[in-house]
Order: sequence, then structure tokens, then C-alpha cells
Amino acid sequence: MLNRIKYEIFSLLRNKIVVFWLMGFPMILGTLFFVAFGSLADSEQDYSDIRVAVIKRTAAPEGFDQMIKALSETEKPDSEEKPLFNIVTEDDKKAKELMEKGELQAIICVDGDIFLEIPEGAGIKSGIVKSVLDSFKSRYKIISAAAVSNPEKVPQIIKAMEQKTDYIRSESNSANYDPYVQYFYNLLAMSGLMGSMMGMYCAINHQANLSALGARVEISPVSKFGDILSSLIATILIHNIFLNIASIYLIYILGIKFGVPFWVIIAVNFLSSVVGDSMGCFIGSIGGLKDGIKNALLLACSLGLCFLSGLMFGGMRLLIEESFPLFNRINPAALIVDCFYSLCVYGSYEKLISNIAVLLIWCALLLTGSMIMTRKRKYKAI
Amino acid sequence: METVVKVERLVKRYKELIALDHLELDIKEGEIFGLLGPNGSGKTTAINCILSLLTYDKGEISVFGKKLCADVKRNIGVVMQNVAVLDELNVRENIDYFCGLYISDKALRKQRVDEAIAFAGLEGFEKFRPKKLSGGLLRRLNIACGIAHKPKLIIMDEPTVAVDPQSRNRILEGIEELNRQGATIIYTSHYMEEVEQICSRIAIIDKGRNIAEGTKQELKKLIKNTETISVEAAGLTEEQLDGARSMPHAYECRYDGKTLTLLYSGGKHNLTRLLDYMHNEEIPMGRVYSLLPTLNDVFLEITGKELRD
Amino acid sequence: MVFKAYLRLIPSYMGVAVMYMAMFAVLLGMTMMERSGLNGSGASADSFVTLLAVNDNDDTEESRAFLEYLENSPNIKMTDIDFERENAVQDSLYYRKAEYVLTINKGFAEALSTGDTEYLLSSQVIAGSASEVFTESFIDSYIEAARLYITVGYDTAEACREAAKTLENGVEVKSFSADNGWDKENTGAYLFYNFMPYIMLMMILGILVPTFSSFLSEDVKARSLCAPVSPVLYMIQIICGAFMVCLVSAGVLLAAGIIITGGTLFNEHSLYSLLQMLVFMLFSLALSAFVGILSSGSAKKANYITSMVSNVLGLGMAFLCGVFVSQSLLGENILMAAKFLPAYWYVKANNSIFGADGAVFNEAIIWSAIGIQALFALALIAGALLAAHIKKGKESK
Repeated sequence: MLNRIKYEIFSLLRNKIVVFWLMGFPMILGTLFFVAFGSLADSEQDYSDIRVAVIKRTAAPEGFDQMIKALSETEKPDSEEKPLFNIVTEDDKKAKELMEKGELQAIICVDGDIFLEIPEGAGIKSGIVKSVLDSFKSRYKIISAAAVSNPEKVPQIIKAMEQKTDYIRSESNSANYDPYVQYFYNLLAMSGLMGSMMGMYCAINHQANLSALGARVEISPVSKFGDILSSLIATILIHNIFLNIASIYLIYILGIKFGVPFWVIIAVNFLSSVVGDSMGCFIGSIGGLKDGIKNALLLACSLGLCFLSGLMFGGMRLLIEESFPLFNRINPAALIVDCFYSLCVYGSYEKLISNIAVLLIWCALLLTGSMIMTRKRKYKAI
Repeated sequence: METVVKVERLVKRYKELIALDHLELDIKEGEIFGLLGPNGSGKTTAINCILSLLTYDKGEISVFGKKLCADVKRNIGVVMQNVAVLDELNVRENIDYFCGLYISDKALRKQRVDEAIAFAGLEGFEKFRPKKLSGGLLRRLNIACGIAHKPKLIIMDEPTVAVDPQSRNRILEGIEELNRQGATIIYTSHYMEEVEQICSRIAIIDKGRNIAEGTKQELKKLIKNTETISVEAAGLTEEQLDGARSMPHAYECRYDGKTLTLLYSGGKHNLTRLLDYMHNEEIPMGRVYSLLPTLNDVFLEITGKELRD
Repeated sequence: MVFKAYLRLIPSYMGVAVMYMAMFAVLLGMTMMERSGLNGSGASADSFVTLLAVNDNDDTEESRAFLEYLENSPNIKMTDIDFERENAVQDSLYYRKAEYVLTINKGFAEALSTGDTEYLLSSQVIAGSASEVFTESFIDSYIEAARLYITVGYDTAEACREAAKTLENGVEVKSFSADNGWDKENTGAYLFYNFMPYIMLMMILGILVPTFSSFLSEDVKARSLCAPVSPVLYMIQIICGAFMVCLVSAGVLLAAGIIITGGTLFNEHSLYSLLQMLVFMLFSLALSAFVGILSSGSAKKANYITSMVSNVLGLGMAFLCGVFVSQSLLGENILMAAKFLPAYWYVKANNSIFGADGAVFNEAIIWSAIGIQALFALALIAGALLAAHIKKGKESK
């Protein structure tokens, strides 16, 4: 048996197609995801350091200067934290120039009243500036109005204004909400299920009705069960090595934050490889189908399942979760993704364990299925 | 001599098509048993049934007096019609892999693999992958993979298809060598010369039935023709031809204006008698030759001359 | 004759084309849906919106007034979450269905009136995101204003309405715009042409490489050339056949595009788009000839090389050059590298044609981008010829 496993491993490792699709491709695709999504995630997180120009054509209302000053200085000057506003210029002409080049997020202009100029299609940074100014203006308005109608209330109002209260209690956990990480989860799920291509050959190369190679093996005295099993073991072993190399590449070289401990990745990789390989073995052992058709079937199967778990469109899994949650509970790709996701986002091992349990059921079903399918030693036709 | 393979009343149907129709085979120890038959006659089906890869509808098969089981399989080696080797493994690894299915002892296996490499003449190609081998070498690798474990019964299904004459001779000599070392060999082919050259007993199969069986000599006796004599002689008259036709034991006479061909069934001194006749008639002669029937004649006469497939 | 025989080969490789067609339809349809519907701080050309989900546990006049204020903001889009479902909040946040989930705690109105305003709301949010900063500043202004109005003497409900009114009349905003010619109507068409390089490359490589390699394999070529056909004519016929296939594929893609985009595929600049498509098609054709020649000889090898090359090149170009992710969102280094790929120029021209992704319609940019793509195609044709020459030299030795 060891001898057989050894040669199965040799032949898998020397098969360029296998190595490319199961190790090279995930790494290439991972690099592409990284390249494409890397800057997206950054742009979302970065909200400070808003480039503004402050132009005063007339005297500013009382408190305006203090506010701007407060926002353009950090509370802790020596920390790396950047202040909210980065006042680039106070010059009218230069501000216009910079705005045209798209290098400014807002021009705050005091000309009697306070005006704000933001680029069309402005991002959230310009929105933050507007909100801050709105707030300032409303305070100003309330105080001015009160000063006219109930001047006795003004000190009370100013007191209320200075009283700093947190209105909002943040219940957020420290989860990694980077939506792009789920593409990497899916990438691992895909590489797991794509192993079905290798699994298919476990069946084909050991079934007399599927290949001459299979016939040669079946006329030998070795037990069929042990034979297919040793082939599957070799396949799963190699597949795991590929998957873990790809994972190491993603996590330690590209620096993707999976948000789960590495042993979870190894464990889930193992399960996904068993599911993928035995699925391939199961479909591969169907007689009467051409290899090409089986291949296409498996490709469609694994990519289709990954599509539904969000490999191409991240939101796909949520869409299914909302409309047909049962499918997410049984789709192996979604289960694999959810193993990482639930641990990372919900921080719960409970969900991870239930996902693993379902994956184990899949493994058991597919392994038994493929063993039953390949159990036969005699064929009606070859 | 002990019977190695016994096949009795074997019937195999593929839906309407009857592939094997009450096939009977009895292969004795130490034989090189030739299984002859046109394409689609059921040779490969019969072998697959013997190897119990195929289910069959009726009949009995025993190998070494038993039903096929792991112990029996250990003593069988098969060389398939299609080259069945792993593309990613080199020559030595392939032989070792397949030998490993039979022999788990490492040292013994290494020795057997070395012997197989020597036997197939693959020295110097041990590190080659199958893709780099020529057609003949590939066939030899295919054979080496099948026989490395020194089986007592070797089944070879057309091992010489698409092989150059040198490789073919090498393979045939090898088969005889294996036989001398004590292996019983079942050999299927539709190359008559090969079968005639090496097989001690031959069965001719057609439409799933065993229509003739015996040694070469026995088979040749089954047909009418025993001798064919051709004489180059131009311008024979009708009378002269009639004379030739009325030769004793001659049952057919052909003449194309240049060569006279007479087919004989039995009789001795047919050639002398014909030459005497020609001499008496003062017919000038060119080359004269006499041919004994070949297996090809037997085959064509028994299975008919129409094209198959 | 060669031409006809070549076309006869095509159906055996149509499976790939059909697969990519289906993929294209799904890709285009889904993205169009995504772009037209909810989209947060993404790359849309309109002003940003934050997706806000509110769970109103108080359900009083005050809380409803607060809700109305939130709803009225042009920068906030309310989204519904099924708060009953387990983990719904986390899912929505993760998949950016909501960027900020706000809970109005029970007793909101009362707390406002008594002035005990600490933690009258709670939030779940993507920590440290720009949406968080914006939404919090937006809410803070409101609560503060309401508190101040209460201090002035308004009753709670009135104060809430007044706060909304004051804030809605905040600073006057002028938006600085450069007219880039973007028209929302064109989203479908823009996306269609944007995905084109990926789909076209994959389809054409998928169909043509195996046919090229079988027609250019030495055996078939030698056999064909034994017949009285001149080698030049032989090549010309194959190329014509391949070109026909490309044209038909492009036609089918366009037809599919017309259906999916609901007839908005053509506008006054469409000639540029079609010319681009044609040039990129030539590039794909040249590339498949190149790969086909390199892999000629064994059909098995050709299939394996095709799928490898087309996937790596197709996906690589698509990601690096801005097909899947807008160029404006890609890092500078990536764009520098992408300049050596024709798809970059394709997307650049396409952005300019539609005035999308911050680009402006500019004929000079479009023409030069198309020219560069044509140069890529020419270079590849030269490469293919060279490869054929070298291969021939090797084999005749």
C-alpha cells in the first residue's frame, strides 16, 4: 500500500496540469484579488486626513476658527493618528487649481455665510466635512436665535454644548469586516472543490471499465478497496500540501488577514480536500460518461457551488442566506467559506463546529458513495 | 499435462449481440496457446472473462483449477492490448509500481524489476518517461509491466500491434524465453506468421465460437489444400491446360497467360508428376515453385475471405 | 477548401464559447443590478451614500422624527435588515448591505426630555470606517441640536422637528463639476464594453487555439501542403476562417448585449466602442495564433495550454487593467505595470468614451489608446510568425 501511495504521489506531483490548477492557479488568482482589492479596502478605512482648503473672504463667525483648529490638530500630537482635516491651503486661487486637479475633498469658504464646495461625485470624506459644518452652523443658529428670544437661556445652552456626551454606544465587536477577505475564503473553497479533478482520476485509473490502466490494476491480486483508498489518500495528501502552501502564500506573503487561527485553516483545508476529492471520485466512477464530460461536469459543479458561495460576487452568499438559507447549510463551498467567516465575523466557534459537522457528513457520504460505486470488480461491458 | 485454463460453454451477450457463443478452451501447462480470430471475433472479450473483469451469462471458467481469486491472480500476468502505463512515472517506476501490486517484498521486487528491464531490453531507458519512448520501446515497457512479477500464466492481448520488425522479433523471442522458463502463455493476435512461429497450439475463434483447435499441423490438415504448385509457362493451349487439370489430386487450376497454378489436395510426388507432364508436352518453363499451406490459408479458408468490421 | 474545413472544426470547440457567453450574461446582468441598486461608498459617479439600517425600539413621535431626519438626508440610504434572523446584522455589515446599523433604544424620547442622553442609541458598525465617522457626526449634530432646542424650552417632539429643520438648512454646498459626459443611462453599455476584453479574449482563445494548433500541427499541414495548395493561400484561408469565427462571436456578444442592456447599447460614441472591439478582437486573434503555434502538435497539450494561458491572461488582464475593478481604484504601481497590457488601453479608452471613472471624453486619448492596442496586435502577429518560423526551423533539423 505504501508503495502505491508513493507512486501515486510521484505521478500527481509530476502532473503539471494538477500542480498548475491546484496550486499555481489559486496563488495567481489570490495575487490578482490582492492586487485588485487591496487598495479598495484601504480607501474605505482611511477617513482622516481630509484635504480641505479654508478660505476666509469675510470675518468668520465666532467659534469657527476654534473649530477648524480643533479638527486640524490631533489630540495626541505624538501619536501616529492623523487629524481629521488637513488644511492644504488658505489661498483662493490655489484652492481652485487643486480642486480642478481633483486633489481637494472640500473648499470651506467664509463669505458672509459659510459655503462648501465639493467635487461632483464626492466621496464620503466631503460628506464628513459637510456634516461637521452643518453641526457648527446649527449651534451657531440656535445660540443666535436664543440670544434674541430668551437671552437668559444662553449660558445654559453654552453649558449644554460644552457638556460632552456619547449618545451612541458602540456594540461593534472587533471583527474583521473587510468584505474582500471573503474572496480569499472562497478561493480556498474553490481550490478545495477543484480537487475533484484529481479525485476523478482516482476512480478512472483504477476501474477496468474506465481505463486500460484500471484493468491492469484490477487483474492484480490487490484488494480493490485498498487500491482506491491508497489512491485517494495520496490525492488528499498532495491536495492538502497544495492547499496549505497556497494558504501560507496568501496569509504570510500577501498578508491577507483571514481573522482565524492557522490551525482552523489547516483543518478546513483538510475537510475541503476530502469533500472535493471524494466528489471527484464519486462522479469519476460513473461508467458510460466520457472523461471530458466528467471533467466539465466537475468543473461546473465546483465552480457553480463557489459562484453561489460568493467567489464571483461577494454578496451571493448573503442573498441565498436571506432567500433560501437551507442551501447555504448544505452547499459545501458555502460551508467552507462559512467556517472562516463565522469565526472571523461572529467570533463564534459554535457555528464553525456546526459547519464542520456538516462537512464531515459530506465527507462520509461522498467517501462511502465513491467506495460503493467503485466496489464492483466485474463489469457488464468494458 | 495439467490444465491451466479451462473455459466451458462460455456465453457473453452485449444486449442483442452475442460476443461469445458457447466458447470452449482448454489450455495446458507449458503451452504457448495462440488465440486467433478476426477483429471483433471475441478474443479480448474471452480474455476479459477469464480475468473476471467482465460478467458472463453462462459457462464455467477455472484458472489453475480454481475460480479466480487473489491467490490465483498472483500467478497471472497480463499484457493489455492498449498500453497501460502511468505517464508521469519513468520506466523503472512504472515497472516497480505494477510489480508492487503483486510483490510486496522490496528486495525481491527490485530484483524482479531489474530482470524485467533486462528482459524487455529497456536498459538505458530506465529514467525515461513513457512519452519519450518510441512505439516499440513503449510496447516493451507495456510487456515488462505485465510480466515483471514472473507469473505462471501470461496472457498477451496483441502485444505487437504497431511495432517495427526488430522490436517484434525481440518480443517474440522474449515470449519463447518466458515459455522456456516455465510460463504458460495465451497469445492473441491476428498476425498469422507470429502465431505460426511461436505457438504450440492454436484456437481459431470466429463469432464467439471456437471453430478449430489444434497444433499447426493439425489445423493445416483441416483444409483441403495441401500443396500449391506454380509454374511459369507462356502460351499454353487449351489441350495442355486440360491435361494439367486432369492431374491426380489437383482440384483447381488457374492460368493467367504466364503462370500456371495448380492446387492439390493430398497425394505425393505432385511436383514430379507435373514436371514430367510439362516435359513430355515440350512446354518451355521458367521458375517453378511449390508452396505448403500456411496458417493464413487455414484462417482464411475457415473464417471466410470477406472483409470484417 | 481549407477555409471550409477550418470552419467545420469550430463546432467541436463551441462548448467553451457557450460557457463564456453564459458567464458573460450573468456577469453583466449581476453587475448592472448591483450598480443600479444599492451601492455604498463604491465607485459610482453619484455622490456617496451610506447604507443605514435602523432598528427603532422606541417607536415614539420623537424617534420617528429622528428616523425621518435620517431618511431625508441625501447621503443616507435606508436599508432593511431582518433583525429577527440570527447574525443578520453582522452579515449585513460584512457584505455591505448596511454600513451602519443603528438601534434606537427604548426610552429614547424620555431620555431626550430628561437630558439623560448618554447612550440613548447603540450602533454596530464596521469599526474605523469612513461611514462610521460620517454617520456618527451626522447623528451627533442632530441629537445635540435637539438637546439644545430642549434647553431653549421646546418640548421634545418639537425640538426634534426643529433640529431637523435647522440641520437641513445647513451650509450651502456648491458642487464642483467637470462635465465628463457620463450619463447614467449608459451604465449597461459601459459595463458591456468594459467586460468585453475579458470575455472576448477567453472566448476567442477557447475556440481558436485548439483549431489553430490542430491545423498548424506539422502532420496536418504537411498533408495539406502535399495537395496543390500554396502555403500562403493555406495560411490565408485559415486566418480568414478564424476571422470569420471572431466576427460571429463578436456579433453574438453584441446581440446578447443588446438584449441584456435593454437596447441601450448604442449611443453617439458607439463607433469608437465598436472600433475598439474590432481592434481588441484582432489582438485576441493574434494571441490565439501565437499560442496555437506554440502548442501545435498535440491536441491534448493544446487544450491544457489554452485553458492555462487564457485563464491566467484573461483574469490577470481583467484584474490588473480595470475590467473588474475600476482603474481609479487600482494602485499606481499596478497601473504602471498594466500599461504593458492592451486591456489597460482598452479600458482607458472605454472610460473616456463614456466619461466614466473620472475620465473625460477625449478623442485624442481614445485614438491613441486604440492605436496602442493595434500595435500590440501587430507585435503579436509578428511574434506568431517568428514562432512559426523558429518552430519550423527546429522541426526540419
